[in-house]
Amino acid sequence: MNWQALQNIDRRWIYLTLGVVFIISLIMGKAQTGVILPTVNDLYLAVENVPADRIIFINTTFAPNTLAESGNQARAIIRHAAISRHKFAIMAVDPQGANLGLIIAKDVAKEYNLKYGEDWISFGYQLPVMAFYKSFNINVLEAVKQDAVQGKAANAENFPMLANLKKPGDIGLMVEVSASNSLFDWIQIVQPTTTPRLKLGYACTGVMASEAYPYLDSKQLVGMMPGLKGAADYEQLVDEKEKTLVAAGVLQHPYESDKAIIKYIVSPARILMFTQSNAHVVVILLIILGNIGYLVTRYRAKKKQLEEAAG
Amino acid sequence: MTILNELQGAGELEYLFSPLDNTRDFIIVVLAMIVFFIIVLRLLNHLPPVAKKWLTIICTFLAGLFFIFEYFWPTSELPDGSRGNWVTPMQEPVSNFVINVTIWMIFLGVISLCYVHGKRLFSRLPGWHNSLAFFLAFIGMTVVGLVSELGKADNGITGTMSVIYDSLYTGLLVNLDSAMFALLAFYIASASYRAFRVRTVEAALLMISALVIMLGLVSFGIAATSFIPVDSHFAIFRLEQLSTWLMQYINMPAQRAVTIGVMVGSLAMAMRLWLSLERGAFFSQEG
Repeated sequence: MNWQALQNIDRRWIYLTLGVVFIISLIMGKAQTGVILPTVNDLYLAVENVPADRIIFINTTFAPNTLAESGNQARAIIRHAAISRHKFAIMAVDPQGANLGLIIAKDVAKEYNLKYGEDWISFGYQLPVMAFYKSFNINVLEAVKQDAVQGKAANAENFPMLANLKKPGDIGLMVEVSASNSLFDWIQIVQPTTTPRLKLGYACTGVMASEAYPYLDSKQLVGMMPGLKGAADYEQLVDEKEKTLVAAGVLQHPYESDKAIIKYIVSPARILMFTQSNAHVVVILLIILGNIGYLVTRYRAKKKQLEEAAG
Repeated sequence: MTILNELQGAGELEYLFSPLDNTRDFIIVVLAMIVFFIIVLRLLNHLPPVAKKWLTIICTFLAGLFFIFEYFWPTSELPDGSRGNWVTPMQEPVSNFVINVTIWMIFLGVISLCYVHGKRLFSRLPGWHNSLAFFLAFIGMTVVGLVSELGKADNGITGTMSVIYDSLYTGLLVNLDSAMFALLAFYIASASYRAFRVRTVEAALLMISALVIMLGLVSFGIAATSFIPVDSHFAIFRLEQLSTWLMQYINMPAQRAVTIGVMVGSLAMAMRLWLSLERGAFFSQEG
């Protein structure tokens, strides 16, 4: 057998294999039920523990390229706020994220009969400059200026839900759904000025998770939803809570993602996780194959060398 | 400080930085801006390179000084009951000023893009068709976006534009952007197949860690070690727990060390920029 060939599989075969696995998995996709990550559970509990009179800020700082991860994360957290009857605000320091966050929030609000301006609000795009964060520290509403849907000044007269909001410390929880390093601006500029400390949650793409662990350890982050796995876990927790609320008659029916107006994130994270799991298995198998080829070739080369040396 | 207090007391600062609510003020401000820019630009053109250099250094230093004062100056109770120092009341106007300046930077970016692509298109340089695509996309999205946003109506031309905008944005841009990013999956699969080889002990450790973390995130991996009871002494060997352990106890200290190093470097870099010690393109060209 040509073990050398295992080390040099043509990349087109790799692409084809992965493509076929993706297509079949997406067609046959079924919701995965996995072991919940501890950091996801912490974030879920942080949302649960937000006092009723406090607003949850959900920052949707991402672009369409990470929609499968970030879009599902945003939807899961907004759904949780909605079924827990927490008031929430959407904001973004990315212009596309502001639009996408608004679309997702509108969809969830429609599903759960939430009223704009009473149950939720959007502050749209905010320029991520030092001056904005400094201004945010002094007065949240003056920093964000107006809402993004009706264009009215952000104050308690126009929106009674903002009555208790002045300083960042008045925010019940801020969740940064991000595909960039925007979280660190909140940690470095805003969080140190608040007493008690502003509670920050983080929903990042999978590759960004490793750099956030020091902040979890120092309790600067109350929880984290890493990548699609995090979104799937959170979705599972929200689905379970929703099921109990439907059974108790509080909600009429569970969230129907297939009727969502956001066509491009129709598949819930738990179904997409099925595809990602299969792709991971393919990658792992490829790595194992490559290493088998490498080790056998090296063993044979050494054996041949010894035989030649022996005579 | 006294002058600032007097200005604040008289409401002059507030007036200077308040949104305009009448046409007369708006026209005055626009005219003042035009005159200001003409004077500044002419002045800059006639200044010798050394003077331009010092002007840039002084402006950079003063701009940085504001944030230094705001952060390090001792605080006391302000008239509105909050804590701050004498610079704190200027935060809001400075924030608005910076936001406006940044918006102008976007405008400059657009001009630069149009200049580069316009030159290529009209001179028929290689790749001119890409520049044509840029102009079509740029003008198309701007016109459709503005018309659909300005009207906010569901019928007539605005309604049609809104549908076109939605098709272009959610139907085209979102999918193209996602598709471009999705290609990464294929490259990563191919790259990891070639890169993860157990050539050395370090490479073996890296590969094993990567496999454990990947397996710990997928149901296949979790199922593989699910026979180990969660409450047993060997629970740490369940792949999902091993994966979490690696992230929390191996990755975290390393990340912390990297972060501290990066932050010390950033501080040094910020100081060099603030004090104009960093010789960038401007100074190297101007001499």
